[in-house]
This record gives sequence, C-alpha cells and structure tokens, in this order.
Amino acid sequence: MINAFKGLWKTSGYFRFGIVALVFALVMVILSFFSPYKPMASYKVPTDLPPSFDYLFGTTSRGQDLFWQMTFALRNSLGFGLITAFLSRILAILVGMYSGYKGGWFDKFLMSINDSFVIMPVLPILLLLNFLLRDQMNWFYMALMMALLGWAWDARLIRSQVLSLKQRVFSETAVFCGMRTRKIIFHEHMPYVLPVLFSTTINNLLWSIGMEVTLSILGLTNLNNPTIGVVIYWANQHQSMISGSWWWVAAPVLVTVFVFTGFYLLSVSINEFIDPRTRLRMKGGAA
Amino acid sequence: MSETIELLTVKNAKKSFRLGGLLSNKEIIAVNEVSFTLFADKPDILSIIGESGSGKSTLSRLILRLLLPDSGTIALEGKDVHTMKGRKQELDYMRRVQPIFQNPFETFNPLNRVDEFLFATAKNFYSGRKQSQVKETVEMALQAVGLSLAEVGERYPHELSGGQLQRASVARAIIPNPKILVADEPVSMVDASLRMSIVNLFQDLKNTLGTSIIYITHDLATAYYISDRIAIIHKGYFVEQGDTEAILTRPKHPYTKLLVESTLDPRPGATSLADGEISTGDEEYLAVGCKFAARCPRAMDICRKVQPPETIEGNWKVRCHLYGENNAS
Amino acid sequence: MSDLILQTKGLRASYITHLYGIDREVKVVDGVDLAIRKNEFFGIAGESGCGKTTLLKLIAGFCKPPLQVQAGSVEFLGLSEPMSLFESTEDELYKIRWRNISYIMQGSMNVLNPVRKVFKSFEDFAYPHMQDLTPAQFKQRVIEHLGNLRLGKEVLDSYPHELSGGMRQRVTIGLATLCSPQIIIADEPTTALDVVVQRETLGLIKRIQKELANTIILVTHDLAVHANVCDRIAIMYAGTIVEEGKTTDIFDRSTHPYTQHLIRSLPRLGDKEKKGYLKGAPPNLADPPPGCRFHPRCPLAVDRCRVEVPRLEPKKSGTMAACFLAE
Repeated sequence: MINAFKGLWKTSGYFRFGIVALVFALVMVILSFFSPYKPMASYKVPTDLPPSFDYLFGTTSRGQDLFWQMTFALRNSLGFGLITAFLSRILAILVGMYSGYKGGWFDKFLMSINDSFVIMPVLPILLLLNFLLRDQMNWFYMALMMALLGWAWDARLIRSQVLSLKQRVFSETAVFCGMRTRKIIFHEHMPYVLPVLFSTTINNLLWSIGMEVTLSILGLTNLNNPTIGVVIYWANQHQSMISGSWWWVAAPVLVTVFVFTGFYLLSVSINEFIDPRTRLRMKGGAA
Repeated sequence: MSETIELLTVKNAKKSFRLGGLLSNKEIIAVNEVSFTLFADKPDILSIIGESGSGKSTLSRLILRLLLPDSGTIALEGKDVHTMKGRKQELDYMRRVQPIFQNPFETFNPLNRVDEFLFATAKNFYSGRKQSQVKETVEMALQAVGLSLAEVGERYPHELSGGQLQRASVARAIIPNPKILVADEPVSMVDASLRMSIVNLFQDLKNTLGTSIIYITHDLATAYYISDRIAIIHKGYFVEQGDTEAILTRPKHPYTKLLVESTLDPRPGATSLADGEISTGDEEYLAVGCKFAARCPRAMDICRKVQPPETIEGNWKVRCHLYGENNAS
Repeated sequence: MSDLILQTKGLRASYITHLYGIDREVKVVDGVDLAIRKNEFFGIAGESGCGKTTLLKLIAGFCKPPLQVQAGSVEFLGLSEPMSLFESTEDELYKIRWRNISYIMQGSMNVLNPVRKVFKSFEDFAYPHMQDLTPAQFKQRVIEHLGNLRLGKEVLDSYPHELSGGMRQRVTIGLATLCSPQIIIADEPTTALDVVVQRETLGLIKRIQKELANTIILVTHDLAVHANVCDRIAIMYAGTIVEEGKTTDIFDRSTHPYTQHLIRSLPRLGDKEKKGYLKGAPPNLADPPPGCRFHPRCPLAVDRCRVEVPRLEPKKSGTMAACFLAE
C-alpha cells in the first residue's frame, strides 16, 4: 500500500497535484473546528479589507473573515457532497449489480425505473423542490434528494460491467461452487467494478457540490450556513465585483477550482492504479 | 454386470436457437435427438467428439443443467431436470454433476486466490462443518490431484502453470464427490508436457473414485487413450456411438472416417496431407436430409432428402443411410 | 552464395516494464542462434511461454517497447546484400515487408477487417507493396492467386464473417503469399481450426512451399503438425533452443531429455500405452533458474547442469542439442 503510494507519487504528476489539493482541503476542514468565529456571525471584523497577513483571504462586506468563512464553506460543501455520493453509491451498486446479474424481468423492471430517473431534468426539479419545501429543507434532505437523482446513470455503468462479467467462465464456476448470488456479486464481481465505482464517486461528489453551488447562488438554500455557493451568493448580493471587493468572489471560486481539479486528477491517477488489471500486470499476470 | 441403475439418462434431447432478430425464422437446432445413458454402478469415460459448431458445447451445458432441453428428457437418477426447482434441488444436482472448463485461467477469478473457490465449494456442499473440517476436505481433494494447500494455498491463478491450475480446477470439482464430471476440452489449453498428467488423472478418478467422466473434445488421440465409449456429434446429431476401440479402428460413419483420417499422426510424414475441397460452414445446419451429405464421399440421393434413422447393433449406433434396412452393414 | 535465407546470432531480448515504481525484466529470448536455409520448411516448436512468438516477432523485425533487444542480430540474406533487421530504418523494413518476408498470424479472424470486404483488405494490406501494377492488373492478380488457392471470385466480394473459418484462413494465406515472398512466417496458423480443415490447410501450405520453393518458418506447439510438414525443427524451451535437426532425427533419435520426453508423451490413435508426464512447469522467465533452464525438471540433471548453461552442439544422432549429457 505504502509502496503503491510512493510509486504513484513518483510517477504521476496528476497524483501529486491531487494529493496537494486533498491535503489542502483536509487542512481547511480541520481548521474550521478551530475557527475563532462562529459560522453565522457577522460584523466581527472590519469590512471590505483586501487579502493581507492578518486576513488571508480578506474580509467581506458583512464583516466576516473570508478565510475562516471558507473553512466552514469547504467543510459543509464537502460534507454535503460526501453524503450524497455515499447514498447514491449504495443505490447505484444495489440496482446496478443485482439488475445486471439477475437479468430477465427483474432487470427489465429496474431498468425502466432507472431510465425514468436518467431522463429527469435535475436542476428544474431541484429548483422546484427547494422552492416548495423551503422551510423544511435542510442539508440532509437535500443530500438525500440529490442522491435519488444521481444514482441512475452510474447504476447503468455498473450494470454493463456486471453484464460482461456474468459471461466470464469464473462466474459459472462460482455457481458450481454453490455460491449464492450475493456472494458472487460482492466477492467475485465487485473487485472489477471498483474502478468504475471509484471514479463515479468522485464525479458524483463534484456534481453534487456543483449543484449545491448553483442552487445557493440562486438563493434557494439555507443562506445562513456558509457553503461555497452561499459565500458566492452573499458576494453577489453585495455586488462585490462592482464595489471592488473582488476577493470575496475570487476566494470561493479559486478554492473550488483548485479542489475540484485536484480531486479529479486524483481520481484519474488512482483509477488506473486501482484497476485490477493493472495490479495483475505488475505481478505478471493478465486479466 | 448390472447396468440397470441409470445415473444419467438423456433421451432424444433437443435444443434449438433462433438466428437473427425477432422477425427471423431461421432456427438452428444445436442438439437434435441425442440419446445416451450413464450407469451408476459402472463408471465410464464417455468421449464426445465434435468440431466447433457441432453442438457439443450446447450439449455440455444441457448436461450441466445450465440450459433446459426444448424437448426430450434429461434425467439424473430418474428425476427429470425440468422438475428440479429451488435452491436445494439445484444444489443436489450440482453435488452430482460438476464441470471442468477449457481454460483454467478463466475458470478461476484472476483477482482472487485459487483456494477461494475450493473453500467455498467445501463449505457450500457440506453444510455445518467446522473450519478445520472444511480445510481437511480441501486438502484431501488437492492431494487427490497431486497438489497440496502448501503448494497452491495462497497463490493467485497467474502464479501457477496451466497444468497446475487445471488440476486445481479438477480438485474443486471433486470436492462434492460428484458422480459425473463434464470436462469440456480440458487439455486443449494445457501445454503438451503437462497434458498427459491431466488425462491420466481422469483415468485415476474413474478407477479410484468411481466417477464417470464426459470428456468433450475434438482430439481423437487423447479420446482413444482414455475413453471406454465414444460418441461423434455432427451438427447436433450423434452420428456414431459405441465402444471407443471399435469405432476408432473400424469407423462406420463417413464423418467418423474423415475425422480419423484427418487426425495427425505424430510420426514424421505419417499422415497424408490432402489439399482437397474446402469445408463449408453454417449452411449445413439448415440443409434438409443428412447434414453431412454435402461433404460425404458416399452420399446417395436419399441422403440429401431424408434424415437418416439410427441403426442399432448391440451398443453400436450409427446414423447413416448406408447402414439402414436397405443395406446390410 | 550461401544457402541461408535468415540468420540470427546470439539473439537476446527482454520485456522490460516499469509500472508504479516496480521494474520487471522478462528474459523471453535468451541466446538464440538460428540458421534457416532457402527452400526449406522450418518448424519452431515449444510450449506456451517458451518465447517462440517473441522470437517470430524479432525475426520479422517487429521490435517495439516493452520488447527490447539486448544483444545479437537478425540478418536477412535474401537481397543482394545481407540486411541486419535491427539496424535498418523503417523505410528499408517497409520495403521488404510483404514482398520478401510476410506473416500469417494466429487467429486469422482477427487479421481481416470485419467491416471491410475481403478485396478491400487486399487493397489495404498488399497493394501498397505492389504499386508497379495498375489497380486493374492488381485485381486480376488477386483473382488468379485466390483461384490457385481454390477460392472463387465471390470471396472477394464477401465480408469475413460470411466465410467459414477455413476459407478465412485461406484468404489470410493468400494475402501473405500474393507477392511470392522469400520467407513466410506462420504463427500457429491452424491452431484454431477443426481437425479436418487443419489437414486441408496444412496440405495447402505444403503445396505453396513446393511451388514457390521459398522458406516457411512455422511456429506451433503441436508436434504432430511439425512431424507432418516440416523438414527441420527447432525445439524451444524457456527462451533458448534446446535441440534442432531434421524432422526424422528429432522424432526418432533425439538426445535432449526435454525433446525425448515431449515425443514420448504424444498421444496417438491406436496407441493405448500409458504416457508419462514431466513434473514441474516451464520456468518463470522473470526469474529463470541458473545454469540449464531445464534442470529442475530433468530426470538426468547433474551438478554441472545447475551451474553452467549448455550450448547447442552437434551430437552423434545428427541433431544439435544443448545438453551436457547427450553424446
């Protein structure tokens, strides 16, 4: 494992960048627990100060230290994204793998449901739901909704992997070993599905954070709890670009771009490594 | 010699597949009127010889109960396969009929250890055993094929040779103590220097464990070497069936004769190499009458019109107009 | 004028991979000396992993990473000047490909483009090497050539999947022989074919060799094939040639223990005598045993075998064998 890490670090520039971004994000998240300010506090510091040594990212028109705001923002956004990704993975795996393996009517039934979810236009639905359920909406419900909207495409990807795995001879051997479906899916097929799972998780994470940012900028979420989108919202509300406090927009945008790019590159570099065929090739076999 | 207790009875089994899409009506009958019997108290090695496209793979899947016949019966110890429903009955069937596949590197999951399947088989077919007993079962099976847990225990498939891995595959198959092993081209992907070890192993299994083996192959030489009975399958039909020695030394059906002539003798220049006509493909499946008529050097008019009936002489069965009631054989 | 058409000297090549900081070197061809004559059917026999396919690639001049030549040379002697394949430029190699050296590959079904009609494949692969002909002349040549292989004109208009396996293999052979090359390299040409079709195809290849009076280098693990078509055979084991000689000498009077075992263990119709088998397995070429590569499995191994590498030397039987214990 450590060797793998070292090997990846040496050979892949993508991996190095991704690890830097990951470390950055982690540091920010940890720091958020040590923030001298409460997340919703305002007018605690002088307003509209550009970045300096005292205030690393500057301050906002609402008198908040932008650096500490960003630590909260990253923490909340990432947390939200992780919950969504986790929930939607569960759905995607269960539906994708069982449907692919069982085939027949079971598969047809599940896939028609899946197709309905795939074609649903996500943003309008989210807008509508947020608008209607404004008062009852909290981050967890929103994560749940995003998970329900985000599993379908990945389920199909996983299913197609399983369809081809089902044809392979060792799947038949597994049947003749007396293995039950659940065991076959999770012991025999899962290792092959892992790369797809991993990359779709990162995709899903980034997608859900992106959605959240979109909704927040439009002002449709709980605006007191800082997330990346909320920070941008308030920046827009106070017309920070025009008034000259460019750092209020720049900080969330740059941080987001950096972290997203880093996570993506991390996923790309690890993906080839996680792929079981690569691991086999290193040992001299072939899958 | 009591040959009365039937282990596996296949009677007029038929399986067809539709070619093309929903609107097509071209049908390929992959297995057609196939009948043979294996007896419980007399273990046999039955070779089924066929080229690719002959239906031998479909037949092996029928015997393994991965497919069900469209018509005719396949019965294990008297019980029709159609009537077996539910997990317990499926397990019972697999307890008695186990496969050995052609490519040992595909038989096992390349990403998992080789012993995973061995332990799983032992656990699933002998429920309620402790871990130590399971381990012992696996070790005994491995010893029976000339391997051991020490040798293959922690290994991954690519770390073993084709011969070792195929033997591990046989070990896995004999753990539930099956009565029938269905081996589909088990040595074609194993190196020549290791091939005979697997073939000899089959003979040992028959002699010591009383297992019957259905050995499906296109290689007449190894079939001659180990099998007692042989069946030649061509485009879905058993065209000749009976005692191996007799059929391979004095073949009756023209197709069998062609196969025997075409088998390369591994002695320098021993086989004459004809640069003759080229064999055709799938059209034979859809031909009326005897499917071999187009290539047969002794084809008569009737061969192209009517499917030849089976002529039975003791335990020698031939499906050819040359041996019908019209002609004395 | 020598009677050799191709010669390799001390050829050594390895597959070298660096993956995530792990380096592996697989010494797949480890010291091969071959002298292949004109007008000869030469066979290279060996099991999987012995290096024969890689050797073929090197003989044909295909050497791309991760395959690297470590030492030795391959010389093509069919032109007026000897041509060292590894020192030639891509252009020089291109000139002799197909016209002087052609290749029949394993799995012909993979050679022909499934979405192009057969004639188009001929145009794609062969015409660039026959630019001196007009398109019409080229087509006529192809039709005649296929006729010689007992394939009718309609084959040219068909897609590969419309032909049977045997016919496709004939088309592949047709592709390889169109320019009447001096060397045809065939890699397991009949392995995937049915017994009946195999016999016909081998008959065809033998006839072609006689008609063109060229050299065919046939690689297969199936010794029965070698017995019936080759004039001379080289037996490969773990990257080296362990025995080489005339077909009849190899089968009747071989001296290397590996060869002897291989021949004795061949099953034959009409022969019910119990066959033995060799313990162990071919070695892992990333970590081969020291000394003679066969010694771990050899029933006659002595101390010297464990340390020194035997060289191919002529033996009394008429073959050349790499064994200290053979006379």
